[in-house]
Amino acid sequence: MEERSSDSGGGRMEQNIPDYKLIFEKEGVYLHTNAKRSNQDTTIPGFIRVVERAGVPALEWSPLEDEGRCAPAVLYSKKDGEGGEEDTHFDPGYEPDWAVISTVKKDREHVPVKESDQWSFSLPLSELYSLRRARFSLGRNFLVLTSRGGHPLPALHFHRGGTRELLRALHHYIVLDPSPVDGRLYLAYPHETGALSHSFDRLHLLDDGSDLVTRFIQDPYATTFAGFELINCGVELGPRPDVTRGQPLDKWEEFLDPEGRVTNPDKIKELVFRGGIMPSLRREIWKFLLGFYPWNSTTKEREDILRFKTDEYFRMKVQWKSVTEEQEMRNSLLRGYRSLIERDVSRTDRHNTFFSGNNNPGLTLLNDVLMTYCMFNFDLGYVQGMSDLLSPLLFITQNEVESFWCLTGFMELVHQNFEESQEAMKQQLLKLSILLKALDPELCDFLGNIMKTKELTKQVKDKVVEKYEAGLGYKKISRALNISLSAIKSIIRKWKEYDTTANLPRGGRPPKLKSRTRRK
Amino acid sequence: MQNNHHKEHLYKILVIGDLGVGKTSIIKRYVHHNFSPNYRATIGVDFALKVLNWDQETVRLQLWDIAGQERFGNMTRVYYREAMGAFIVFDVTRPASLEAVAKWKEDLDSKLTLANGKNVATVLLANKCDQGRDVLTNNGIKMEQFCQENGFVGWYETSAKENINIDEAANCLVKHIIASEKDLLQSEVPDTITPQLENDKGGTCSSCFRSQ
Repeated sequence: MEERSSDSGGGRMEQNIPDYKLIFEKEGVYLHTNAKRSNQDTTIPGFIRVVERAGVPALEWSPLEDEGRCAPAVLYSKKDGEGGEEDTHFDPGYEPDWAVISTVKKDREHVPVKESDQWSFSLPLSELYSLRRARFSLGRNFLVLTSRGGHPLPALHFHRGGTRELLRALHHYIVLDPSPVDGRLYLAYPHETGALSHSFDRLHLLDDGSDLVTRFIQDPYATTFAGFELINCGVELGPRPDVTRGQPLDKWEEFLDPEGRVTNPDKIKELVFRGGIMPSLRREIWKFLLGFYPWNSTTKEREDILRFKTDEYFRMKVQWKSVTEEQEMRNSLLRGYRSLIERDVSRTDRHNTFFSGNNNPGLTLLNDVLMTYCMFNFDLGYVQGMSDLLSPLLFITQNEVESFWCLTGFMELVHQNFEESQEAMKQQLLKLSILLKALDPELCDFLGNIMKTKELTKQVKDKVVEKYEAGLGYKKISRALNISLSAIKSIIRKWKEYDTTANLPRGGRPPKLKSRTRRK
Repeated sequence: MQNNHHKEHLYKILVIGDLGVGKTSIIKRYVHHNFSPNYRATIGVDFALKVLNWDQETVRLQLWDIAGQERFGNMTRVYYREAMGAFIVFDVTRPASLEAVAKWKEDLDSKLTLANGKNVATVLLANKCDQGRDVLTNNGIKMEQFCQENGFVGWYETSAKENINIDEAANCLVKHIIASEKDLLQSEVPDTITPQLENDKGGTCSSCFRSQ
């Protein structure tokens, strides 16, 4: 963090202000006037600062020669209906309805105002609505700030870098959340105490397939570890509830009414959730849990269902069984599924007696149920991992037809994990990373740093440039700093081209919306 | 200066190929020196680390065992990232798995290149050679031609079960990785002369600044 104590010009000029604290300062920030208000200087060199005035954090810019002046020319402060009376001090008891009251410089009491001074401004951070960081030519960043009143402030060009550091300094006070539609645009929010609820808002954001998800699909690791700086305030979780494992469900008949309907499915689910099921009852209860039998079916109805489902199973089984070799020759999809299944069946739970040894009938059952599943859902077909799901189902039900329908019920729940796009898998990883970020930010950062392909710190990169300037060759630098040659090469290349070792923002807006999402 | 400077290399190596061709078995044989006929299907990706002594330097191979069905997903790009070399494996008893080799190679080359734009060193493994050979692998010349056409640096008939040629194939790959790394260094910045003291052969103008 580039925090400087107030020994520079910036500090001196503020010393007569009570309760003033300089948090961040960066020189070499040029304000670009639009030549609307002034037809002279279109760029004015100056300072950007984050300050606390009477405890209220604000973002300020003032011109270089603006020493000895204490108050910015333009103040963005609370609307007071007074027709633009400017405050030089901020009301600590402000309400969140700040707005620009004037962008026109009023005459200051004593100090004559230079042309450039009229551009200085102070924006309380609560008043910051958005911030767009974009790249000008030569890797120079510029920021465009917008106040909650909707007024864009003049663009600030960071000729000597520092936007990243500034954003970091701002992070102490506000949340800067990348806009879902434009990665360079950050929306400002106050830090909330309800961080957790906020984080789950963001989960909703994911659920409706918005930007983050699409971005994640394009670059899962980078997005996961870069996109969630939001939850960096430690999340306060409530005390951990005391949970003990319950007894396995060992009664069944007493949950059935005289016709055989399950009287209280929720109770059953609760008991199963808490304690599992006695092995001897699994065969029966799994069929309910996996949707083969409806909870409210009677014993009689279940007999009918079984008969009907048995017919349906064999009808589908016959479909692939009756394909001749010649037909299969011309059906690459079916041939592909068959080959995949054959490969995996021969290596599924072979240590289990149900599947061990050669020519075990268990293997034939695995094969036949999986082949029939392909006919049931030909679009999905066979995906690696399915054999592992079917294996315990076959073992528990000991029945081809029942295991098949339990598999279809199970796949109904988890089929997304098997889809080619792997979107569900990515979403789950994404949620995992969000949880990790909230629960163990340190570990998350650690993983994030590893994933960031060993990015070198700016200090190290500067060292590389320093050595290069001293005339050392790439190999020598590499050896001296123990950094790979290719890294050194790219640091120097960037330094030559952009005259900086800092990270540059990506050029242009990354494509985020898939055509399908865009249509929504 | 070499003596007190024990260098270490870490290379990420991909092991890809259709499912059931023996990728996991090859890695287990190479790293753990054993074989089991009952390996499960690999879901997603698995890892293993092999440490080699190479000309008094340490070479660590990080082997990425990528599930055979992954080609159909779009995660391979993530898995391939920053790899320096690859084995593409097929099963000699299944000609179809050789057909898939070209697709795997294509997938690899389209998603992964070195900094100088070249493809990573890739060795083709004709696995399960203990179970008989098919016509193609029986024909060394044909295989050489296949390797040339598809950009493999070499090929080996291997057997994870009988431990045939696995070390040899790995050494071949490491050799090529080290060579391509050297190549990378040489192609660093072609239009820049790096002054070096050792470089006493011509070309250095006396008025040029000499670094130390």
